[in-house]
Amino acid sequence: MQRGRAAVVVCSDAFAGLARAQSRGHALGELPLAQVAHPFGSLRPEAVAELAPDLADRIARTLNGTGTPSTEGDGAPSAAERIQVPADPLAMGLDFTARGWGDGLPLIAPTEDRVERMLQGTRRARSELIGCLPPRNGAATVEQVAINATMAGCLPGHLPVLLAAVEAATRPSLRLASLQTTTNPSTVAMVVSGPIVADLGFNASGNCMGPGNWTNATLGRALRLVLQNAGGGVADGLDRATHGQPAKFGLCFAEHQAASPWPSLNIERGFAPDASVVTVVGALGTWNMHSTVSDARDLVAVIGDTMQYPASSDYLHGGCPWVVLGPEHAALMATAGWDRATVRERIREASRMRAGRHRGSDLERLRSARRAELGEIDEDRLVPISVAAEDITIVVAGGPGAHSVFMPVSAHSRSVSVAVAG
Amino acid sequence: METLEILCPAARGPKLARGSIAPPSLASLAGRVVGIIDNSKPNFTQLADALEAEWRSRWAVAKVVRVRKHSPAVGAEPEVLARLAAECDLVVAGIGD
Repeated sequence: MQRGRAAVVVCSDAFAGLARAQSRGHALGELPLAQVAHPFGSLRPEAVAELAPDLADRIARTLNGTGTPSTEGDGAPSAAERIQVPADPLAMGLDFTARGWGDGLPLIAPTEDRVERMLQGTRRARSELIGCLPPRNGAATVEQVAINATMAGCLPGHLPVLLAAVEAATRPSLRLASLQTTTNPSTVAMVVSGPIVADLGFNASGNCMGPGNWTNATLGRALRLVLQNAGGGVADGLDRATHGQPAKFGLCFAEHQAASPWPSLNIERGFAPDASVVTVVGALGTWNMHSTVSDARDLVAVIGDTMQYPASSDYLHGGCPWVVLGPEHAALMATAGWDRATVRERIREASRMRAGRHRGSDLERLRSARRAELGEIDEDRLVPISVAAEDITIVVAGGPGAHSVFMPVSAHSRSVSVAVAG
Repeated sequence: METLEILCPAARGPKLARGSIAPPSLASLAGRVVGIIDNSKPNFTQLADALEAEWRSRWAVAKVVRVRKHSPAVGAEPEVLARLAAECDLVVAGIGD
């Protein structure tokens, strides 16, 4: 339509709201929609064909006077609107949730004085635009991020970390538009590396992905709120997750460098050894891998077996999964003389999955998606989880115990690291 | 009810590029070139097949240009969009499920 051509969007009725929002988010106004009934993707072929005559009529009806201008938003980053809300904390939380601004938990009221204190945590200008977040493409300014950080319970010192995470989330390779709107349970997890881990009291040890640490919990939650309140990824709104997952309330943990046998993630990704770095990951979940084996080769075999599941985006498209090794597992691998690159290669080898574990249309999708990379794929072909070993990220985090975590990653999403500025 | 003043946490949406998006109206599809962007979601290819057959048989569409994204999560490439814009009078795109 921006190129002077008529355009019509086809979707199932369950996705009409997302289609309209994508249209507005790209400043296209109201693109015409032609809808079919949901569910559509699981229909048998003959049922799909039967939809065509009526759908062709619907498309034709949109062609006369297609599109109307959107009136939402004036676009330019501007100071936040001041509004009156209930003073009672519970009533305010319910009000925010009803407006689509909350996550279903109580929130701190972002009053002028609280936001002003939050802004003391950064040297960046209040009006600075960090980026526009899809699908709504709302402007995430320093002020807007600070407001949401206040709501989540962050402290002023946390703000630079959150700003770096938001900046990372705007990088194209994360594919935030997809993460925010997919039916998959994708979330944007934050992983923190470098001196700031100790400075701000992040938990990199026991329960680092769980409850109990203010910095981890509030920062993970704050990023979620920014993505929702700038990007529009609101549950039951533009966020179309079929189930979601608990980590969509927020997932933030730190690399346990003191317990790692290898250089930190920030060094691996080209930052200075003393840099503090935030990495954002389009995580689909966290899967515990408990193994008490005492041979590193057995451990890799266990991890590789555990990572294999046919309903995985990683195998379907060639992914960028994460493996968070507990310190005990990392130490076992280091004892074998393996560096991080060796671990990546061995895990990729051990996690190859027989293509025939995919069935029916899933197998056809796999063949179609990876044909260019792998050629024709018969059912006995062992399919690697990633295109290259370097696409697998290995970090060390967690406390005592013979556990590691497999973190599958949303399709085509590649984690992004950004240095924390002041 | 007692109230307090807060700063709105929701960011503003983008400004509509007025004047740049006036879409043409089409009185008829007869003799037109129609493009389809297949988002590669399950069943969209089959739906596009049926639509193409319908357009050709009942609507006298001159030509149907089909492109298929390799994944729903990835946008169509700029050169693909340029080609569709150059060849087509109408483009139909699939989104979501």
